[in-house]
Amino acid sequence: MSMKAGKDQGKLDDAPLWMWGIGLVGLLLVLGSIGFALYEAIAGDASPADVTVEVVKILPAEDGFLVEFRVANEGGTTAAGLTVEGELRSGAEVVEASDTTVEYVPSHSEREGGLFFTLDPSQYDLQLRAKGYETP
Amino acid sequence: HQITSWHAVALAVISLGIMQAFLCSIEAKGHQSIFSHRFFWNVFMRLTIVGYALVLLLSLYVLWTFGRLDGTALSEAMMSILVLGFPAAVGASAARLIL
Repeated sequence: MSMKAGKDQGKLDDAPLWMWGIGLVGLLLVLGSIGFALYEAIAGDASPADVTVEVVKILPAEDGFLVEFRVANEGGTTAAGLTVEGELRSGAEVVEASDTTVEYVPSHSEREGGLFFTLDPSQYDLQLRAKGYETP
Repeated sequence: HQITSWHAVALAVISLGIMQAFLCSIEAKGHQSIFSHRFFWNVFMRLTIVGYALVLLLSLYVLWTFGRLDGTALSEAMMSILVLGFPAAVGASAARLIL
């Protein structure tokens, strides 16, 4: 039994060079990942959610028009249940308004969505803004 | 997301620990002392580290394929990878039992 143990030990020692090379690459990958997560934990950015909304595209839809938008959260905190409201204005008057809720916008990330309008947004002054969120 | 980066680091360490424990006990096959220093490091470098690195790469691939990484920052993506990597690592090391 001790001979078998010695032989197994020898088998492990004789591992070819490429095997150690792969082990090294794997080690770098694993240490890099854990190191990055550690860095984020210690020195990560925990600033409050900082949300901006911009229009991506305006398309005709079945019952009117679709305004595709993109929400970007530049802050360090996730914004959940983010309400986005779009208003069509003519001068100071709000002609039409639509809103929707974006479930989850993590920090330093973007999410996309859309708002439906019955009137043509290009005829009016379209304004999109984020109204509120909760911290999950 | 809702977990902090500390949770992700803890998950990574736990994943490695579970993998190492599984693999050491499987590889020992009753012959070797599982507490011998040399054996521990051999298994660690050859099997555990390489296995976990593969798990991380595959988690990255799966998340990317299902669009879970679209428009997501590196820190958030890293946390998702580490979270997905935990059950994958446990499964991978347990699979060695069968194979």
